[in-house]
Amino acid sequence: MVWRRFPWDPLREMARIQGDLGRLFGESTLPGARREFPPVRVWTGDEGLRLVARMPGVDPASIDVVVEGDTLTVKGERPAPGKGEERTWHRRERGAGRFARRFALPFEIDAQRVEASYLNGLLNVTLPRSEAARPKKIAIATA
Amino acid sequence: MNEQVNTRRTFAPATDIHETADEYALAAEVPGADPESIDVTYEGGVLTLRARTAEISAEGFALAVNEFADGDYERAFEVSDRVDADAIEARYEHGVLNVRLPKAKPETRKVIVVTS
Repeated sequence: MVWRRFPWDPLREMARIQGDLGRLFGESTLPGARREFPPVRVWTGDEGLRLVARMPGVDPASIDVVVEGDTLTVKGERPAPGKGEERTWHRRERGAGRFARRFALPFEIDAQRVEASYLNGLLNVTLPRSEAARPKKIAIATA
Repeated sequence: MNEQVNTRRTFAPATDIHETADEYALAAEVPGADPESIDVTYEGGVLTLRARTAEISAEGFALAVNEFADGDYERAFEVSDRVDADAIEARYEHGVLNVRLPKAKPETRKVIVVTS
């Protein structure tokens, strides 16, 4: 029997599971470890989830958004500045290279209807809840 | 008359700057910037970048996870006054503002004739 905290917070569960998945895939859990890339903003509603990931300078061809079971994976690559001519660097503050981030989904998603777009460095993902997982309003029969 | 007060946060964008023989090149991360709002000015050896963003929200949904803040961008860089200001180019792509500042051609030596 699973005892749930009341009130149950599905997104806290999601963050906890994400932490577990992170550890499973070898990400550092030390305090002060670099924050996850890309940072996200997530909303929930009866219709499903909306997610915006802030990821400027990513090669659009490299972006991969996959929903598999109860996990959403966002992958991509930020190309490293080209070599070629001689350069003197004055400032290097941006990150580069491949990244992958996994999120545990709090409810079942209709993977066929997931939509994603990349505009101005923001990845917008719409994840509709599957029909079976939608909240159903229950009619009360009164005698 | 009402004074317009900007209550939004302003961030300094993460920026890479490198120099080659011919130019300085800057890449500043300004994800979410409205292209119409981007402002790049160069004066007296200082390059200033400004951009505004729209608030990122979802109507009818409840916010569940928030790992970044909404805000505008602004940052100024001392480059050099040996830049050909007329040839500066800026391009905004995928949330990154790329600015190229070609170096000025060396001044030719001018000989002044002395009359007496």
